[in-house]
Amino acid sequence: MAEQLDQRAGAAVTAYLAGDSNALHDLVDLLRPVLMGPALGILRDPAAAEDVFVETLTEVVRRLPTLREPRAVISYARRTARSRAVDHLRKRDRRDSHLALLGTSDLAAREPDRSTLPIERIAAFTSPESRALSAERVASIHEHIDRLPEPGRGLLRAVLLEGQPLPDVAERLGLSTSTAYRALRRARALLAARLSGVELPGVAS
Amino acid sequence: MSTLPDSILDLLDGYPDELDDAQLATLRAAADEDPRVAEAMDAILAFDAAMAGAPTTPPALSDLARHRIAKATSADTPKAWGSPPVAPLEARHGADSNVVPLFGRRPVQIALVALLLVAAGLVARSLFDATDPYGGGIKGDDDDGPALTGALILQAPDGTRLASNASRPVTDPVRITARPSAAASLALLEVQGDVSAVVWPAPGAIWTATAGPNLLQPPGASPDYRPAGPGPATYVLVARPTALSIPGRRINEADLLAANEGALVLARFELDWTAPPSPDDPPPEDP
Repeated sequence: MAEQLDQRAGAAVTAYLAGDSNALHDLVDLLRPVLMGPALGILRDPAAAEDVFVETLTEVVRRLPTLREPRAVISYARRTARSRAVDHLRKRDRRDSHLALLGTSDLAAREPDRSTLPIERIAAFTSPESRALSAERVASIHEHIDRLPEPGRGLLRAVLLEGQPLPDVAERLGLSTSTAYRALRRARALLAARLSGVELPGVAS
Repeated sequence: MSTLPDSILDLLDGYPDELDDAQLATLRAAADEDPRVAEAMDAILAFDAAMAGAPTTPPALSDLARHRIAKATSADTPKAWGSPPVAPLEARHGADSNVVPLFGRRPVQIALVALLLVAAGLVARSLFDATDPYGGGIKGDDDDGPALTGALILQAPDGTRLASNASRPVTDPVRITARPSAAASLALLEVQGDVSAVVWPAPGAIWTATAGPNLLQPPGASPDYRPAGPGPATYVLVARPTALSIPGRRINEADLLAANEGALVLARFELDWTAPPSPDDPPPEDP
């Protein structure tokens, strides 16, 4: 599926560079879900995700003539969109911290979607190509969580697999919320690294 | 499987929001060198998105985004990019809306309406350019088009147009119309005392307005608007050629502009909302 996407995108890039302006529309159609989905996941704001998409697309199109391999356009666009979305997020977080100090931010009051478990959503984000891949991904995440050290393992199980709120889990484990948050962040980094095939020194399995 | 230095793991721990700029640059450089680091960064973003319950289905592109892409890429025809467009504001209005529904008409009719609008715009400009008390607009930074201008029009439900600085009892609603000179994303702020709040759009939503009058009317609801209480109020119409991002309902003008590069204030309107007459008040004297 990913290979097909790369092929279609490569064909669109080649056609566009040969003078077919309609090929640009095909490229936009291909890139929109690929770029906007993750941007929306990172930013949780449709307007900001759309901004990231437009900015990324503009940059990608400008650099198409210098692209060595047309099929690599999706990969390049993904990296660019991810970096831009993270930059937006960091800029917004700094601003929201200021607003929170003034007591005017209502971001925390937004109700998240809890219709699926976080682990399923992670699998969907990291393997968007097919349900089968997502199911494999869920199994892989389970295995890697089982190999994590405590208290990260317990925290991730409760939060990811059972969808429990972090403060509740922290109280049950006898941890302060801030300690649990730090442990969860560490476990998150370990899990992400292992899911990406990286072996970690000094970490008990 | 090769090992990852502890320093990179520490950076992953703080990614994306607890790193300073130099640390982020280091991590990105590591990701450029090692695709597994890039994958781990993606997994962390996925983790955070999942934990926050972020939506996974991207929305359709707005008209503004399509226009912006067409402009940026110099595409000849901004056709529908394979996705249904976001419903324009006029589609969400009732039959009594004063928005001109341009979409879906025959080309000749559209051309005729466009000509009439241009003519009406020229007449209006000649009438109001110097002394329009209802707004005016500030020159935008659009580099190859006319400056985005606009006005804010407040009317009584019977259509009587109110003047800026007028007084009005809080029990008497108003209807608010934004009139940008070109398609734009808008937000209307209300400032009463120390409180500055977004009247429209709703948090997280985008108000996409077409050129000309756009009545502020929530879908399926009355356009009549009343403030929370009496007191002088300033209504500020903010516009941006691209989608405005509104991080919270309680935000002031400076923060909204700071959060949206290229945004500008199109119009201001002052209204003194007065307390309703109390039954204990003496009756007005006969003239």
